[in-house]
Amino acid sequence: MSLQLTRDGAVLHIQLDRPASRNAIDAPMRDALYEAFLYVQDDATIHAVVLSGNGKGFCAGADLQEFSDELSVLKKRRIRQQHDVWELIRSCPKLTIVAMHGFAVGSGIELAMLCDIRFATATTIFALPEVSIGMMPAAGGTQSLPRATSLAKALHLALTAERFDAQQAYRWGIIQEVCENVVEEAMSYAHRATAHPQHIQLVKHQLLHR
Amino acid sequence: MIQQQKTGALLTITLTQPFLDVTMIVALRDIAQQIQYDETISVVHVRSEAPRFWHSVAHDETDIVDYQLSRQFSRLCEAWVRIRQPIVMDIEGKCGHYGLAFACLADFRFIQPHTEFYSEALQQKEIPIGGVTRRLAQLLDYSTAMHLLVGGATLTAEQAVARGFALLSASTQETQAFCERLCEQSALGLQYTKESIVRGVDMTFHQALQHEMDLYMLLQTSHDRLEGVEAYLQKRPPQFKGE
Repeated sequence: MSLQLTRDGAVLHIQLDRPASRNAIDAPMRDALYEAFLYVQDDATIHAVVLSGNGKGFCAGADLQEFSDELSVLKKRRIRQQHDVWELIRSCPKLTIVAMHGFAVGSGIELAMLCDIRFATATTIFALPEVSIGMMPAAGGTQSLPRATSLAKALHLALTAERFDAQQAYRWGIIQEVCENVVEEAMSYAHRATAHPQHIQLVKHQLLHR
Repeated sequence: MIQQQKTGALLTITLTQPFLDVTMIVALRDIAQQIQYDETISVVHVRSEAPRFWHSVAHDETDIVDYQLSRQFSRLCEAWVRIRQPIVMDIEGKCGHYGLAFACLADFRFIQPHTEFYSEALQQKEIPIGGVTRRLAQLLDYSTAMHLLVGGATLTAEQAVARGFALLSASTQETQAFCERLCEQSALGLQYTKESIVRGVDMTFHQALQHEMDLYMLLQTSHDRLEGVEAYLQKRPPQFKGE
């Protein structure tokens, strides 16, 4: 299983669970995330989601081992459109909180940027290294970053592929909280914030569609 | 007036004239058009030898607005906006009005501790042009852009760096080194990433995500994408070709 799901009252904790691959996102994990968020969307008793990673870090990005497959670009595009996990997460009507530690790289930080609130430990390292391997951020990062920070900062991070730490991420508005027990803090935050779940959905809808 | 030097995939453009006139505008517009069609250029570096980055727009700072110049300047900005490669600018001293508009076209702005940004357009009975009204708000934020453009405020170097609008550079050599590091990245990756970010901010999020995906799918067909992934898996430096 690529994910571990744990229910705590109205909060669903989704943990990326491929620690041997540093939680790199492969096709089965994307499919599992898709199913998980469909479940979140459909279950009226779930009011918030906390996303975290098992092992040394949150997520090392896309699993490059599967990039040598021979699927045509047309097929890849069709699969991506039919099973758009990034859009599903972005438009999830429930509160989404990500709790990061260790590292959040490439699709890892892009996945986090699709969530509403981002927590990280002080030692978390972030990067968008795609341009250094002939690619570009493609899990929404080129759009979520400028909207969360600014056009200037987004260009800097995406074009230089430089690593940056939690302090800089906090200064630039990429994360909202720096703390040590990041999963416990995120779960506690989720429980507090979901005291009035209807309000969350209304506010989120207004903000998403402004 | 303008010198060009190409070193590998880096094009360095040096402005030797501290003020803007029609001749310089036309020359810069022609350069932009050349850059757009030159696939051997990965990064464009613009610097000035003058002590100020276009503080004034004519020989005489008391000249009345020259509408011909304004129209030409708008066309210059349109040409530079179409440049696909990342643009790095070294900005020294005062950068105002037309200089500010031109600086906003850069993807990276390197400044000195004494650099200042401002716009005296309204005070000179002009409208800020060259896309600065839109771009400045995207690069900074709406309120700060209003403060500069309407309120006549000055953005100091310290403020510009704190807001992520610019980076401090100790020297032109330091900026040059940054440009050379940027040239080591995949040229196609740089261009498509820039296009996705810059065009996407003018779309709804949903439209922008679709645009990002389509650009990503185009990149999937490139040699550089295959080479980049192979090099990563084989733990060696990639050999990008820009195709």
